[in-house]
Amino acid sequence: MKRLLLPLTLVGLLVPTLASAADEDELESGRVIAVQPRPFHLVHEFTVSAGVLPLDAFYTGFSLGGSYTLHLSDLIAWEAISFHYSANTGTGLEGELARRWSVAPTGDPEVQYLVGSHVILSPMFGKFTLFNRSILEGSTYLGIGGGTIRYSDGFRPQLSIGPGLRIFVGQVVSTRLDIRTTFAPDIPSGLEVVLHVTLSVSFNFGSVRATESFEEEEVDETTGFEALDELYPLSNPEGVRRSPGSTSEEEEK
Amino acid sequence: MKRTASLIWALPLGALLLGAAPDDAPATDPPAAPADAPADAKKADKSAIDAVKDAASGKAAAGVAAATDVNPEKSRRPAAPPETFEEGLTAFYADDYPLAASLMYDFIATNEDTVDNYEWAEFFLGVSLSRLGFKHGAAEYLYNVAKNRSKPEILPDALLEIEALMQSPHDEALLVDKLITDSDFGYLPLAVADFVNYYQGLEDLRAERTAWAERLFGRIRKDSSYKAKALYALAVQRLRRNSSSDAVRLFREALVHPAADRDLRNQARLALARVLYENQRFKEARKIYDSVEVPELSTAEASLYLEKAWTAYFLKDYRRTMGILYALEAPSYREYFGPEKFLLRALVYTNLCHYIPAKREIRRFRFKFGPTLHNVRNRIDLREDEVLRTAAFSRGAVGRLAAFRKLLTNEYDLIDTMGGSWLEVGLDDQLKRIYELKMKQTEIRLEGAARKATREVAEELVEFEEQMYLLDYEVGLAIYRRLRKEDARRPSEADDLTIPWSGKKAYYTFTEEFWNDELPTYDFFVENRCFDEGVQE
Repeated sequence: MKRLLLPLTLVGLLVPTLASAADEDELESGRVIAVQPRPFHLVHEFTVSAGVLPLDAFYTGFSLGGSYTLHLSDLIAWEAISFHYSANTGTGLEGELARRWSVAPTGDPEVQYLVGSHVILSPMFGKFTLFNRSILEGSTYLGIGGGTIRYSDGFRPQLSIGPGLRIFVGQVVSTRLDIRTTFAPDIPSGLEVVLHVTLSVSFNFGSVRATESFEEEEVDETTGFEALDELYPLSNPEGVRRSPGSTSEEEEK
Repeated sequence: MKRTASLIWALPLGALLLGAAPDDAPATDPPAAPADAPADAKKADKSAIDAVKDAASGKAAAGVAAATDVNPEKSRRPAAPPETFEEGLTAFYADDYPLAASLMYDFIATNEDTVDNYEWAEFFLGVSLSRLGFKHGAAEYLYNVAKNRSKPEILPDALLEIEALMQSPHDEALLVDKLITDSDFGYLPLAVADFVNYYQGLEDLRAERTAWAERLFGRIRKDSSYKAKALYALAVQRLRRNSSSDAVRLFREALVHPAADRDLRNQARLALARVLYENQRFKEARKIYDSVEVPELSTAEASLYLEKAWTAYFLKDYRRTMGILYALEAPSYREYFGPEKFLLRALVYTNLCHYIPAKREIRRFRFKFGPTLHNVRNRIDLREDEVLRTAAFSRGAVGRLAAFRKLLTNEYDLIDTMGGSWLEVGLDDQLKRIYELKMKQTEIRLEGAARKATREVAEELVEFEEQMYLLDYEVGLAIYRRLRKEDARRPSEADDLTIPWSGKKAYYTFTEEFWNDELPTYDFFVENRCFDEGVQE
């Protein structure tokens, strides 16, 4: 009896589950999706950036730079080249150490410029309401890539990764915020981590992507009025002009 | 289901006849019912005025004549000298309208109407009130000027001001019935004559004096915007006479008329789309419907959506039909009376063999309108039912009257914000008397009109309930319909329900949050569960 009880209990537990699943399936009666054309179509994107490298304790870098991005689809783009020059200013820590503790740092090299190339993945596209008044479109993305960093003591390879946010101003102009974490090996002492935050303005040009073929979409140019011409041949005011009082029948006579 | 379809085909025509008038041409409605409308209106008007007279008897408003409501009780203060008028004029031209209004009122309230410049004072008082946002107060004084015509040189200006006042909710009985259609103004400048001829012609159309109407419309200059409106009014009248060919020609002439404004062009497009719909040329009708522009989130937009939904339904575009119907669930359209929504949704579900959701829609209809239908069966005063009342007050002539009542209330509240010189001369009290009297009159008129309007809405609702019962029965039959084995296939591959990862379109799954910009783009992703050709005929 006990041997039978367990399967029966299991059946008893499962049957309602299966039944409710079936009910749900039966009640699953479609879903509503707003399907809207993407308002912006990025192709060749040129970006001008200003940024900051805030992480180093001895200096803060203020960067100026730019990049070119080739958009292969709305999902994937290739930031083919980016260049950022960093103008560094001391944080005052070096002087503080010397004054207070009579200690001089070992002379860490400073970033002078960064050159890189990244893959940009943009899985999220959406809308924001601005003060409940207007709608802004934007996307978030992730940049992954590498390149080189010129330090004051020489070049080092780098790998970088970081998220970004783009707000569209129009088809041509958009603004970007990028936060990139760059890892540069500092042989033999370890790994240098550089945080680079940039605020950019992008300019988009072109209409057909490299991955797209130029297809002339078939446009239905009918207006519906053709049917009126067909049903009521004398109704087209372009063809016949009469005074408002007269009737078609009179005109036909 | 054919019965349902034929009922629905009748709806847009009814809607066309009821709502065919351009917004600024309220009297275009009556061509839909020219025989009885004026008589009813006059009856309602008379009873309303009588009632107001009763209500006002023995009160301070005794000096306010029922006909125009504005003849002020002559003040016991000494008569204002002619300089008061001059000062008022100076204030008017200095754009100091509150002061101008009070001085002009002081002048007419303390002088006999035979004094020099009395009519001019009334005119400037009316215009000042209009500029200050007291549209109805302005209409009353300008009505006096235009009706009495003791100074013919003011008449064109007064009529121009009245024309401007008629762009917003106004007292149709006063301005249209009593003034424009009931007066012979003699010679008028052409622009003003166009306006007068249009409204007088419209009144003749209402009374089925077509030849007279056409003669008056014929006097309107060809390049006047009223010519386009006249063409439209004639088109509606031809449609009513089942002269579709003529109606379509006139609608199209109104549409391409260079002076036709956007509202009129949209009305003409809507009418033409409905004609195509009636002719079952749904594809072409949809194209014209798509070109119609209506104010966003308005009742007119909800009505347009519903017509588009029916068009999509007859084109068997069920996804679009359902998308539009979901848009109608948005809070902005909550006031819109649309029992058809439930019927159409149930029809779509039935056509896609989703029988339980179809039945659920039928239940939703009963849940939503059950109390109202219960009230109808219990023969209560239909005006007491909130659903019927709201629906009735958003339609046609009753809707315009309700809008006028709202305008009166808003303007009445505005009187207390004035003060200053108005208090000294008693203009605020006078305006309050005018507005209180008109509000009572409008309320009585509205209640009278609401009786008929709510009855019409109730009959409509009962018809839909009948359709729902029929559909419920048909769904019940369809559930147990026997199928041949060879028909047992689901053609859902053709439904194209896959959503790409990326592409030129963005897909926003609906999460019970309505974004206004998305309303026209809703698509309903639903599998076709039918085991036959895919769609039941």
